[in-house]
Amino acid sequence: MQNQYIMKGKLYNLSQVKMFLGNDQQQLGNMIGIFINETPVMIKALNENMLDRNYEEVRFYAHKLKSSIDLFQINGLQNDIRVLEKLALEKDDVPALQQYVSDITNTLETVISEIQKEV
Amino acid sequence: MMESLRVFIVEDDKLYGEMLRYHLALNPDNEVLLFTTGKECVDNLYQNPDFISLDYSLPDISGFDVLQKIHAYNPKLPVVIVSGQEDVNTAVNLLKEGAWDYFVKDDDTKNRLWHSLQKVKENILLKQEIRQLKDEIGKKYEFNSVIKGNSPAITHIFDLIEKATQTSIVVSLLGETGTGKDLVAKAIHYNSPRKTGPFVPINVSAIPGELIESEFFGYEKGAFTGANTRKKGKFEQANDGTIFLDEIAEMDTNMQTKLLRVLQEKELTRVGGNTTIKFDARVIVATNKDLTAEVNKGNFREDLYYRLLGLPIELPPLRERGNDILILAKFFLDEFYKENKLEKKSLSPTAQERLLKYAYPGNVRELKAIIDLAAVMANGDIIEGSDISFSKATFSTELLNDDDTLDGYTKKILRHYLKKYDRNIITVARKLNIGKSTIYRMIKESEL
Repeated sequence: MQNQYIMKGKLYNLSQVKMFLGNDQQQLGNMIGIFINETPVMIKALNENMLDRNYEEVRFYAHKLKSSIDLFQINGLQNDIRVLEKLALEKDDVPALQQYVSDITNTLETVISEIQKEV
Repeated sequence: MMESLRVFIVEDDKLYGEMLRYHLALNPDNEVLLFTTGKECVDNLYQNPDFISLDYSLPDISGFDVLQKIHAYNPKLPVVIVSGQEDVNTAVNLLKEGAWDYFVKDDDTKNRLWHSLQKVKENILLKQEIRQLKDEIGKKYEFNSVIKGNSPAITHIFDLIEKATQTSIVVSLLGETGTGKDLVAKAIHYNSPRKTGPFVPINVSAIPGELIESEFFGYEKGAFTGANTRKKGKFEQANDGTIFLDEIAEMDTNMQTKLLRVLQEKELTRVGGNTTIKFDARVIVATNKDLTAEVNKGNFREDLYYRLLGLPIELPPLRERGNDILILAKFFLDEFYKENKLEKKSLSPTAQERLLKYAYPGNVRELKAIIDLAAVMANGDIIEGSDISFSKATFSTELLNDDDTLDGYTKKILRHYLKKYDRNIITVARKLNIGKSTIYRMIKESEL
């Protein structure tokens, strides 16, 4: 769980999103808006399904969060989200699953908060 | 010139979907629509997208099922799967199902998607170009462009061709060499609903016996020495179009059996293969032989004969088409002068009379050759009778050019043999199996 060590520095990097959008500031604002609005919805669904032990859905939401995490280059989570997806598929290490869901949730909430402050 | 390209992005991750939409919409020629569920995509297929970027993991329907639904609607629609799924088996199965390409979501996805879209555009432009060319060919093969004339014999042929174009019935074109069977086959194809499909002609007599099966039905890699790659045969190539089997009577009986089975089942197996492949090709056959006689002689299978007879169209020989000879002659003459950028010349009454009297064993093809030669030989503005020359090898047909009496025919025959054997009476008598004295008498009476 790499993110625990990196939480101290800046957690995300917008350079890839900017490159993707060719420095179109208006579109960058739109994309950040979508990230800020959509990510909490997915985090909520991820946690609810974890509580319900619905690991297939946990895997689905982990999979869905992957592209946003990659785009925003959220440090540490790029690997963790893939591990979570794999664990949810295997379904046999529930404590680890819970730990990953919890850590990923915390990191993403911090990222959302930081981005909101930045923009 | 291409109209705008309609692109569907099916992606439930709104952020990623928006990013792709933004990127592809940078080209104003792209009309990009974003859907977040498989159902929305399927429900909107009526909008006829040109390209679909499909996320494999959707909340409602799996990417695999959406792909199947898309291809059930339009099997040729290019669908690129964009997925975070890195499983090779999934990718292979999707490609087998007909996906255009498979991209794992990473930094380079947008560029790869962009390039895929460019390829689709190029493909669409090429298809448009092919369609235009086919339309042009179609115009070239409109009935009255292909077949000139207004004689009752040819008018009847026009009626039959029109009937042939309305269904996919097998058509058997019968007639002497040079009557235009190949042109009629093309006219039927390019005026039928299959005109956008391929027209695949094969001259059966031109293919060596040992190669004919692989030519017709294709072969698998390694089927025989030299089969380095899989190859589709002519029947597969003609799918959705027409296959034209010229000189069908020349096919050997072994191949006839195989052809019969393929025509009955509407499926074939490539040489060296095990899989049966369905095909949908209209069949037109042609021969200058009397197929019934070939059946009676045991050279042609009776069951195949009935399978291929379909709508028989017997093209009349030119000598039975009356004034069509002059219509065709004028057409060929105009074509010749146009091609060679020369001043037009016309046919004198004597030239016309000579053309009308000739029997044309080589039919329309021979008439064209005669006209081309006359156009070259003529000195003035008018082509005279003396400019028209017929093939010397056709004495037997020249003999039949005019109606004559038995006495008249006898004189012509004798004149021919005297000329041929340099008036050597002994040889002529032996060849005609008559006495020398009879020949002397005939020469004296007829002043030969």
